[in-house]
Parts: sequence; C-alpha cells; structure tokens
Amino acid sequence: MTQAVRASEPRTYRAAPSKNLGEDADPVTTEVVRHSLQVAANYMKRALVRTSFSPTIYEVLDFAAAIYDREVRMLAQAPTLPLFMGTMNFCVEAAVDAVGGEDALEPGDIILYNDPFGTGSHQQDAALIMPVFYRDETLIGYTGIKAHLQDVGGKEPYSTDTVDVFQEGTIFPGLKLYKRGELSDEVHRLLVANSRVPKYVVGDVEALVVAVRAGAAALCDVVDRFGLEEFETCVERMYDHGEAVIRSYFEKIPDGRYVAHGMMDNNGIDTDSIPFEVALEVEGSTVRVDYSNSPPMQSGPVNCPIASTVSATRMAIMWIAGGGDNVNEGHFRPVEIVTRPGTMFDPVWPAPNFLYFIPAMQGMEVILRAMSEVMPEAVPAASDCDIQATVWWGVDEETGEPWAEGMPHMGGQGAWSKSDGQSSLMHPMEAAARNIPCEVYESRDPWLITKFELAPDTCGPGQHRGGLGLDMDYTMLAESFVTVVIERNKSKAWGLAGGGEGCRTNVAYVRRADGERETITKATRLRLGAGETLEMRTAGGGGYGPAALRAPEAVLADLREGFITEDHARAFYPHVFEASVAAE
Amino acid sequence: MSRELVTYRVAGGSGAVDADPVTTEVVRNSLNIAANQMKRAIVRTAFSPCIVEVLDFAVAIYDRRIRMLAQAPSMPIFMGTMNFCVESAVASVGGEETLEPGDIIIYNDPFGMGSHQQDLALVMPVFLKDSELIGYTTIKGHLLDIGGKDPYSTDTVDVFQEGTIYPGIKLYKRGVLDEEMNRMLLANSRVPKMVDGDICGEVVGCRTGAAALIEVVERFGLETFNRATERMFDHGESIVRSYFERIPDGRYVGHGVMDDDGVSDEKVPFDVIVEVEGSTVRIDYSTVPDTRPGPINTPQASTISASRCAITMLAGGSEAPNEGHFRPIEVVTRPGSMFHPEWPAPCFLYGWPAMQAIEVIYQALSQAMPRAVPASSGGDVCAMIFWGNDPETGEPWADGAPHPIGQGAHAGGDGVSSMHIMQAATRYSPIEIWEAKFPWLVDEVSLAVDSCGPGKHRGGLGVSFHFRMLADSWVTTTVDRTKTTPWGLQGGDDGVCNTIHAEMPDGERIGPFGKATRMFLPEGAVVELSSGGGGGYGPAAERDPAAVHNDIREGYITEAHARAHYPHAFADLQSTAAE
Repeated sequence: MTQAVRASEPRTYRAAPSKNLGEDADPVTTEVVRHSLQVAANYMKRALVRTSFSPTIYEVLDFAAAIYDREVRMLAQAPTLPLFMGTMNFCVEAAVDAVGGEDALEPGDIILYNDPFGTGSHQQDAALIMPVFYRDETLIGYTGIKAHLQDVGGKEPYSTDTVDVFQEGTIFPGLKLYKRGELSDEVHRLLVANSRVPKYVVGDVEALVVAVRAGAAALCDVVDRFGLEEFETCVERMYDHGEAVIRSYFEKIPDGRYVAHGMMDNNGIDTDSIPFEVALEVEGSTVRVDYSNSPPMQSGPVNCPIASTVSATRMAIMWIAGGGDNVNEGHFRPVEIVTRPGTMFDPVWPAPNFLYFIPAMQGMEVILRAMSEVMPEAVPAASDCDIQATVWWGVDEETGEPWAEGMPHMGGQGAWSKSDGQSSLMHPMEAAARNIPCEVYESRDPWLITKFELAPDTCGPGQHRGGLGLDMDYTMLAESFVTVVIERNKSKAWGLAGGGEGCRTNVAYVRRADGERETITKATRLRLGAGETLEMRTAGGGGYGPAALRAPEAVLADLREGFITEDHARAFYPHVFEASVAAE
Repeated sequence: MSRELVTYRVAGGSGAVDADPVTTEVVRNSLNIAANQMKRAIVRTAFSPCIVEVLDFAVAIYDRRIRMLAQAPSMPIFMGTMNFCVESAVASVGGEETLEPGDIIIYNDPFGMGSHQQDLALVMPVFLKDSELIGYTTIKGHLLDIGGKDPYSTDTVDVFQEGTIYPGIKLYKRGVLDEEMNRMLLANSRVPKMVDGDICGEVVGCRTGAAALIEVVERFGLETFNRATERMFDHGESIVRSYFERIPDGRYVGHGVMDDDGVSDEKVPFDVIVEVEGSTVRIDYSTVPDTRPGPINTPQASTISASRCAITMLAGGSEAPNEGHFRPIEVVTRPGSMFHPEWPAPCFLYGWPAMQAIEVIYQALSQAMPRAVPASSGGDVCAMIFWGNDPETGEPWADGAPHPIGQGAHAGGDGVSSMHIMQAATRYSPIEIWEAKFPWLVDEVSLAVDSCGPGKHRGGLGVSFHFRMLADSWVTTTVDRTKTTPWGLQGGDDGVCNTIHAEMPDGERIGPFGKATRMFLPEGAVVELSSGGGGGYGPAAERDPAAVHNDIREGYITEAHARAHYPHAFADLQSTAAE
C-alpha cells in the first residue's frame, strides 16, 4: 500500500559557485596539481583492488573513490562506478555532519556511513570517509570510498520487494570506525554481527580502510610538494577550468526546455508500469534537469534518493559535455537539479530505496533522450537500460561457511550518429565495472558457466545498429539462493533518428531439474537446486538512423560474424538483398 | 549429524555459611525491594504502553559472580535468561576488567540472551564507592521496533531478518551517553521516538537498581552482605530440593505440538522429558526436532528460562526466587535442535515453543503428581503487534500486546479465566489507553463463552477482543495452538483453541488463521481474536450440578454447552419435569 506522503514544493540543488580565486595560479602548475590529484585517486582505487576480499570489489569494481577539499569540493576521482561518483560529496557531508561537524574530526578518524537518505544508495553501499589532516594539524580535505558490501543484514542480501528502508539492511548513521587511528572495537563488532557473511565484510572493510588511508597520504604528498597556499590557488583554477569546459558546451546549445519520457516495468511490489518524465532546460551556459514532475514516492524499492538523482544527472551531463576529461567540482557548477521531496526522485524517510539504481540509470538515459531533441547527433539511442544485477548466497556444503557473490551483467548499447552500439557492455552507469571472469567465478562459487555468448539478432536495426545483448547461463553445483533484478522487460530500447528498437528485452529464466522453465524478472531469494540453471538474457541496444541507409557491406559483415541471422537481415535490411539480386 | 548433548547447571553452594538468619532475611527482602524499585522506575519513566502498561520486561540484580540476588515480578520467560544477558554482555566488551563505574551495555544477540532482538538487554555493572565491582543490574524490555524485516514477524528464515543486532556495546561509558551508539539505535528503528523514550526509561531503571544495591551493601557492609546472600542462595536451593525429594524418582515424558514453524504448514511435535533423581530435576530437550527453517527456535538461554519458570512456579514455595532456586535444575539440550539453535537460525518466535514447554513439563509431571499441576491453558499469548503512520502528522507508531487466555483446571478448582502463565506478570493495555493513543476502537472485550474445557473442575475461559481500525494499519499476529486443543487432565476434557479472524471493510472475512506477518488493515477493518480456554480436570460427570448452573447464570457457558457436557446436571430437572 502506498503510504500517504504529501509531496512538497520543488527544491533546486546546485554546487557552490566559483570564488574567483584561481586567476593568479600558474596554468602549468595547475595541470601538474590536477594530474597529481588524479594519480592520488587512482592510488586509492589500486590499493582497494589489491587488498579487498570479494570479487564484487576487486573484479567488478563495484565502488567509487574520490578526494575532496576541506569545503567538500571534488578534487579528483578515480575512474570507478559512475553512479556512485556523483554522490560522494553527499557521503562526505552527511558523514561529517553526523559525527558533529568539522570540529569533531581528528587525524586518523575514519567514519562509516550508509544512511540511504544521505549516501543516495542502498545500505550495502557503505561509505568510508577519512578527514585528511596536513601535518596532523590542518584539515585539508577528505578521502571517501563507497563500495558494495555483500551483506549488511536486513531482509535479504539483496531485495526487489522491500517496503521500507529498515528491511534493506542495517543503517550505520555516521560512526567512527577509527578514532585517531585506533579501530573502534564496538563499531567493528556491530558490522560483523549484522552481516550474513562477516568474513567478507571484514575483509572488504579493511581494504577500504587501506584505500582511504592511501588516498590521504597521497593528498598530503601533493600538498607537501606544492605548499598549501599554491595548492589551494591551483585547485581554484582547476575548478574554474572544469566549469568552463561544461559551460562552453551548453553555451552552444539553443536555450529551451526539452522533455523526454521513461518507462519503468514496475515498482517491485505492484505490476503497473511507471511512466516518468525528465525535463532538460538550457539557459545560457547553465543546464537545469528537472525531475519535479516525476511520480510520487513508490511503495516498492524503486525510489532514488536525491544524492543518486544528482549523481545520475551529473553522469549524463559529464558524459556528453565533459570533453573526455576527468571531472572535478568545477564541472558540476553549471548543473542544476530540481526535485520535489516525496517523489520517486527525492524520496523521504523511511521510503524503500533498494533498487534506487533503476530510476537513476533510466533517468540518465532519458536525459540523453531529451538532449536528442536538440542535438540528435550527440547522443546514443537507448541501451539495455539495466544492469541485470544478480546476488547469490548460500552455505558451503563442506565447511558450513556462508558465502555470497554479486555481479551486474552486460547488455547492448545504443547506436549513435558515428557508429554502431557496443555489444555486451556494462551500462554507462557502471561504465568502469566489469564482469567477474568465468575462471574466478567457477573456482569460487558453486556453479559452472555453461553459456556466455553474444545474442544474435538482439540489436536494434538502423543505419548504425544497436549493440548485441548477452546470453549467460549459470548451472548450479549446489543449492543456493539468488536475487535477480531485471528491469526493462516490458519496453524495448528506443531507437533514434529513425533507427529501430532493440529486438529483445531483458529477461531471465530458471530451468528446473524437472525441465520446467520459469520466466524471471524481479525475484528475491529464489532457490536454485543443484543441477538447475539460471539463464540471463540481456537486451540489445536501439538503432540510429533508418535501417535502409545501412551500408550493405556492414550488414553482410554482421551476417558473417554471426551477429545477425539471414532472417533478421532480410527482415530489416531488404535493400541489401535487392541490391545483390539487381547486380546479378 | 548427531551432536554432543549439553547439560546446563549453575554452580553449587560453598557449603555451610556462617550468617545470621534474621539478617539474611532482611538482606533478601531489601534486595527484592531494590529490584522492585527498578521495575517501578521503568514503569514511571518509559514511553510506550508496551512497557508501561503491558510490563513486557524483566529486571534483576546479580552479584559479581553473576548469581541472581533478586528479581522483580516481571516477565517470567525473560527472568530466567537474565544471567545469560549479563554474562554475554560482559564477555563481549572484554570481560570484567573493561568495566567502569557508570557503564551501561546494550546487548541483544539472540544466541547470547535467548530472545529476539527487540528484547534488548541493558546491563549495568555496579561499583561500591566507584571502585569495587559488586554486581550488576539488568533489564530486558521489548522495544517496539529495532529494524529488520518487520516490527514483528512470523516467517523469518534467518536471524538477520529479525532486527539489528547489538553485540554488546557500551551505550554509556563512565556515565556519559555514547552519541554514536544512540544514533545507531535510533537510525535503525521505525519508531525512533518510542525506542528513545523506552531506553531512557530503562537506563533510569538500571541506575535506580544500582543505587539501591549499593545502599543495601553499605547498610550491612560487604562482608556481612556476602555471607547473607550465600545463605540466602542455600535456602533457595533447599526449598526446591525439598520439593523434589518428595517426588518419586523417575523419567516422565510430556508431549507438545506447535501448529507450524511459520514458513510451512506442518505441525511440529516435540517431547520434553523430566527426570527426577533425588532432589535434582533434569529437564531434557534432547529428543526435540532439529532447528526449524522458520522462527520457532528457542535459543538455549530461553530454553533454560522456560525450565526455570516451570520449576520455580511449581516448587518455589511462592517465594521470590534467587540463584539458589536454580541449583537443583539441570537442562539438557542438543545444539542444532529447536531448543538449542545456532547462528544464524531464525529465532523470532523463540517464546512460543518456550511457553508451550512450560506446560509440557507440567504435563510430564502430572504422571507423578496429578494433583500438583494444572491441565493445559489456551497455550499461547496471542500476541498482536500493530503499526502505521499517523494520518495527520505522518509520525510512525507501533504497539503490541499479548492477550490473556483461559487457564487449565487443577485438583483444587476451576481454571482461572483471562490470564497467562509465561507472561504471568504482564497485562494488556487498558482500553482507554489503547483508544487514546492508537487508531482503533475496541468494540468488544468479553470472556469467550463455552471456551472452557469441561471437567469436574472446568478450564478457565478465553477472551474475545475486537479491534476496529480507524486508520490504515498493519498487524502481525502470532497465535499458535490454533490446531491442537488444550489438553485436560485426569479425565477432564479439552478446551477450545485460539482463533483469529479479520473482517475487511468490503465485507471479506479472512480466517481463521494464527500467524500472519504485515497484514494490511485498511481503515474500517476489524480484527477478532478469540483466545483459547483451559482444559478441564477430572471427569465432567463429576462436576457439581450447582457449579454448572452457576456457570450458566454467569454466562460463562450456554445451556447447549452445559447439556452436551454435563447432562447429569439436568437429570434432576428432567426427573422433576417428569414428575
């Protein structure tokens, strides 16, 4: 049942404006500082990958690492999970607030924080925030990581059907896991006691600690090298430059309000589709993304807390306007986000948010779709619009030890004006994430990967065709449980500029021991017995431009490579065959 | 896999104690007063009716060796677990050496304290002159929500679904509130204001008990106090031993049956074996089923508590029990079984097998001493937990209460109506409090006519409650013993089972059912609980006809019931009519 929540007046989120303090900075030094910070952020990433315990972190890279200045402005981030990246300042702000503000921070402190209404993500995505003190005296900034922990209690390790935030996991509302460098035994025991897989959580959290410390040391090195004063001037200039990159892009776009629509399958509880609308307003060099017209907060877990709404927006805008550069605080300044508290894109306590990434991911594509109205050649058609997340768990039959594993899946990307869509790639929201190699999978987990291949004919036809989806089968060697999150099962990936829709939607099947095949979309705690198979089938991307304009040699190449069948080719690209007949 | 059995017994006494008997009695009663002060302090300061009215908590005072000095009459099934709460809490923070004056530990790991996470324990070490540890005060109280799947559940499959676990955390350190842990508690509750208010009340309770214990010790001096409590324990022990000495040695088996395990429909039968050997009584749960996939697993601490409840109520001489009363009791369990589950088994309904075990122990003992124990009661506490949001303010609320049932008849008389054993000290909230605080009207509270088991002495009557919702709400109902009637004794007949129905505003009638989790009740829905009646004692044919007619006159039974079960009461009338 939907709880009666009155949606409030819209609110606008924007990053603080420039202080214009960077004019005196040397541009060359600024570039060196910028890259040094980038290297520092990459250190964090590397440290985490080298030390973490679960493949979800070291193979999938289901985390983000970033460095902030004292005013919680983003200095640098490592190429990691994009949807997390734009939320990291919220994590720092909320964590610091929770413990009592800047004054309560001491060198060596590390704060654990995972309240979804602060971090923007579900509780599994816990943030570790470390204040960085220069020479143990002056607070100069923060390092922060948000990473997916395999289980933090709650109803299930992963859920599609929660009705409030309490079902979704234990909330750590800003606790100092380390106080002046000393582990808080109590906080640590709380983490351990509230996880189904305590060994995983301990291993991963220790790695997160290593990483925030590596980042802090690296930031201090950078400041040491240039001196605090010069460093500060340089970063002001760096921000202003970032801002200019984005502003120069939007200045070229005609002012106007561009509206596009998305369609989610359901809210995880009911079966009704959820249409929503996002408006993109360009006004001079400022871009305003307006979610205020979105549906009310949902009774199921497809609510996206504001931090992730902002992050999805930042992702979309950086993708098209960021000039391929690493982004910093300055890039965010021209971006305004309008939400209405009490709606799906700005839910309020205690709304369920477990599947927050579904609206976020689709919101991002709808922004691009809105952009296509004015700049069709700049943006792609729709992708599979999903990450087909699976999270598995069970108990080792030999040792009795609990285990858990999680992985997103790849789908076809949308075609665009310059080329075909990429096949079987992680959604842009998880652009830096990867699949777990089959060898790692099979050696750790009780299954065999019995199929892993591109799915022919799934691509949307067009002058440029969409990317191909994926077929991947897991055959179980022991009993386990799995939560499957399939979205965009009811809607195909849209084409652009006359391109066709993707030819398959996302779906999964379970092949039972008795041969029966069940269709799965969203399923929580699904039991799979030994010998049973989960078949993941991901969607193809939308096409770009009329199929009739596709170069015949490209169609024939696709046929040769097995990307499409002859039936598909004849149905969508008859001109290719007419030409060859005519030629005879 | 067959597992090594575990026998739990408390340490024995140290032999003859040189203590003045009069001083010992004064110390003993002073300690009971101290425990009662704790209880009173909580009742006066806690926030939710669940604590203030229902008294869903237990308070106790322990000595430094975690031997029970005194407990206030509060929730019986909690009381026998309190030493485990203290032991686990102290061990988890690092042992005695890490304790400081003013510390208060919160602890709610079910495998340590025996209950579901909502029943959070507070443990306070007590220091004499801020330097010498002399004991502990402790409280276990039901918090209305502590996160997890639901405020209350009947269908959990692991302990993590059941709420946030606080594995021994100092909420107060040297008397100062740890802001972090307080935030943690509030962040993980659906009703943070209620949890905040109740925990503050419990802190007051622990501190009140600590101050009172210090006063007692200061009044007598530590040495005299220690000697007196040793003697007090020995006396407690002798009361229980003298009872069992009179019972023939032997092995007596009682049979219980749970409706289901919460996740499947099958009944779950279990046996409890009571062995009397000299003055020692051994309660043996080793033959019970393996740990269930659903939440009807009773952690060892509550299995022991249920055993202590049964034995001290029977053999305790109506005195307030202390550590000594527990010495003659041995409890045998099998790790991995329903009465000794291990991490991460679901335990949410731990209290349900525990409460039935108490009656199964009596059933077993009835073979040796039929006159000492009653027939079965309605067999459940019929708990219902409601929650929702205030339609005006949006503020979340929750409330929960057990509901009384009919008690079993016994050799000395009819069973009492509208009471409970396991929750003997608890009450349900007064209707006025309920209606003033929560969005429902109580349309009916009445004794459930004809629910009593017939017999020479009839069982007590159950109670009918009708709640009419005035706003959209959710409810979890945990009603067991809906499939198996309360047994009679010595030829007495069975009572009537518990039932629950819900009537939706559109007229749809749901039920009868027993366990339901997060059932949505729209405004206008009515929940109807009819709790079971007790079993009868002795053949119905021997019931005094005057008593039958009196029951009809009082409206306890209908004439149809009377004619069906007590035809002899009408024989004279018929012969009169025939004349």
